[in-house]
Amino acid sequence: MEEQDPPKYLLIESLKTDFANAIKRCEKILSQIGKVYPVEDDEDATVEIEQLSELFSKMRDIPLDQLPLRLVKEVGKETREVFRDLTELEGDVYSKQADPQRISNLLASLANRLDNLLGSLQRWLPFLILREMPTLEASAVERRLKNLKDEQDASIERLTKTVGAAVERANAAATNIEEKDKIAAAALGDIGVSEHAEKFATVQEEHATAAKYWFWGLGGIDLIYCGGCVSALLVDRD
Amino acid sequence: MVAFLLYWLIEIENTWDSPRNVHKVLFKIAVLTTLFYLIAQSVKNFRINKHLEVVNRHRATALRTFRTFVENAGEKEDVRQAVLIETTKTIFAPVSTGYVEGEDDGPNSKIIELINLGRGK
Repeated sequence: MEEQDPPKYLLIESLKTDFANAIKRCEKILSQIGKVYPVEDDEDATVEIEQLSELFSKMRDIPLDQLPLRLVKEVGKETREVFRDLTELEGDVYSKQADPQRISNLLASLANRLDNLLGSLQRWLPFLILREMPTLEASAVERRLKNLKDEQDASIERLTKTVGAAVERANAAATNIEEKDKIAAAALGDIGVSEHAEKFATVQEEHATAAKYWFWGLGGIDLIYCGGCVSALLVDRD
Repeated sequence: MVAFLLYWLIEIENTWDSPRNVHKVLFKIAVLTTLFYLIAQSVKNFRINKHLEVVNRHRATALRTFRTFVENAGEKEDVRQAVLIETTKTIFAPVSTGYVEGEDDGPNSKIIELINLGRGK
């Protein structure tokens, strides 16, 4: 018998609990890292911790109740991955034996996972804002929509630059190919002309050699002829 | 030379119709004919080969200098076309060398006509 999914409200409640636990555990582990490791000296680790703190603040703002079922399931899976990374990080931090570089790497991995998780959720933010409109103040809606517009503008600008650069590169490549084509055609023409010139020169040499042979052959026959005549004159007829 | 040949050819011993005389005259005619044939053939082949040698040298020279003329013409399309036509004529049209009798100097080559047709002239 096929296993049925739990109802949506249970999944959302579970997700809320997971998020709260994740936030709590992360805050705890971050404070522990600050005690055990001198993160002030490690620039990468400091950046990762700041990034994680920012991500947590974003996670608190997400209206989980209004997410569609498919997204809830997807986020649930990603949250489990976050927990796995978190557990690994906790084991290393509490054992106090891990290399600071490894801690930094684990923090980066965790930040990436949280970033992906929030990325999945942020695709739905415009719809969530629209749904929240009746309950939110006008200034809050305006602020959120402005933020979204800025993000979209930045994305469009980035895309325009990328596409423009790609088009320029493609045009440059096409021009280059045309020029190379012309050069290759000219080179092939030169090769063809030179090849035929060489063939004509070879044939000319062959005919020159043959003409020389015929000339000496003619001389030989003339010699025989003249010799015959002279011998006929000188022969004793008696 | 002709007198000598006649003398040598019709040299007779006794009477004209003796078998020995007939045999000698026929033999001499055969020898002379062979010699003349060999000489004529040798001269003909010599002239043909000299003619072809000159023609091919002319073609090779035309092709070797062709690019130089085209490059010096620059962007002038008319000059380029003229050089191309002249080179093509040199290669495909009959060339008079003086070695072969009855040479035709007229540009009657079908290829030249086809090129002119292609240029719309």
